[in-house]
Amino acid sequence: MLMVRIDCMIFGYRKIKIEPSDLSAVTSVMLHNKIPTYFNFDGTFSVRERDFPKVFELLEGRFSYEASDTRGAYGAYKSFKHKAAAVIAILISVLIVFISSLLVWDVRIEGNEAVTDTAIVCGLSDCGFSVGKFWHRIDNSIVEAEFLSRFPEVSWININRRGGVAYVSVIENNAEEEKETGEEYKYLNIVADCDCVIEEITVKSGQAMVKPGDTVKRGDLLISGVAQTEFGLQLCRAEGNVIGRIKEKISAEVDRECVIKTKKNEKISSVVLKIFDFPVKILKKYGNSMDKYDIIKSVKTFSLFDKCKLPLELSTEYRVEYGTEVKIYSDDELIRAALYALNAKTAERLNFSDLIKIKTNGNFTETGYIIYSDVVYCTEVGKISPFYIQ
Amino acid sequence: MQKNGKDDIIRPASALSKFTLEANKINRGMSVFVGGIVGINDFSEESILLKSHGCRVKIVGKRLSLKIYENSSVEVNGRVESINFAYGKN
Repeated sequence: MLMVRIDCMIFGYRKIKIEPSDLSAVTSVMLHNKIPTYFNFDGTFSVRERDFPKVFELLEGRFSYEASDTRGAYGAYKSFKHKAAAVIAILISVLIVFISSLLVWDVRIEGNEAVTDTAIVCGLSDCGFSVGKFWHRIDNSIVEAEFLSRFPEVSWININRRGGVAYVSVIENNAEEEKETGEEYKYLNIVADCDCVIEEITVKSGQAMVKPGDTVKRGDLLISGVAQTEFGLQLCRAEGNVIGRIKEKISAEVDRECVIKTKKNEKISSVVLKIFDFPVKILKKYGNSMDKYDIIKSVKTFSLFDKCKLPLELSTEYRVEYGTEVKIYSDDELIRAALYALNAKTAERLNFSDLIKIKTNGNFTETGYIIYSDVVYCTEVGKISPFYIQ
Repeated sequence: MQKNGKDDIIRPASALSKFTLEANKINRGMSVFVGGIVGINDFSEESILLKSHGCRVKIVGKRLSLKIYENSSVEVNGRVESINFAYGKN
């Protein structure tokens, strides 16, 4: 397959056929005169239109060759008679394509079973979203919220834009539970995920086995899927929220001596422009003189007036050379580093939890500094535990 | 080419200072980039012999094509089967 660089396609190139016996000599001549060329295995080579006069001088009288007319976009433009009309037509086409991309052309529904596509499309239309609307005039979050309020059969909806097509994903309410082959329906208990003191228990279905103030261990039954009713014992999927109070110690230790990464040098290694997901290599550097380096890739997307996303993506790859050096912390720096590490651990542990009390202490060790926090917090402690009836 | 920091790399003094070779896999074959080339001794569909300062590189394969860049670098694409490197004054 003949691959011609993008600048040749736009600014024109010529294809030259030479004798197979002259191939080696011609490649040496092109290399010696620093003329970029592409040699194919069938004995032809391509050269940029702007280099052709020089190539003509080098080949004339020394080698027998056959040169084609100018090819590529520039060649087509040169040979075309009505140039002004062609330019205007191209500009009008680009304008039409741009304006067309601002509209919703089609709505496609995914994930629905009981609710029909027509019902969802009509529902979206009542909420202000339909084919022919301008994308930038639609607030997806408002449309989704209004749709959910009108359609109780749907528990979740999301509108994704891909080009001019809207892909609407829905999840319906009351989806049928899956039955496993050879077994009855799965029943659930809710058990304790860790040791704690019960703060609050809310039961939606099932029977509470603990009350606020009880101390439980990991695995203890909190809400039972076996409930006592006026008709006798009934099995169900236990549902509810159980909040427990947990006391825990979180610690972090930092050494006084550590190896840190230092940035030395940064060089661009490649630049690729993606147009409609088609990659165009603008720059690629070969060869590497760096000893140790990280590769950083940054991707930049473009939009018009911050509303209309363009099908362009610029991806730049950097090689960042780094070295390592041994750093010895002073006392203040050591405490700060230990506190930073402890805060990170604490934040991760207290995610989705309410902090009640925290007491932090630290002391220097032979090798560094150790810091610890006694933490008391409240969090959801129930986890589901299925059981089966045989 | 990324070097392993633990290995020592022995280079002849100054002779290969501009020479680089990098190979990547592409669709239906390989792309071999060679920098610091001073001449092309032989070029055919199945064999390319490149000269650099202080060394020679012979690339053998099938359906080979050659791109020449302005900075004395070349790129060989195709079904590369072997790359032979030899020291020697050119």
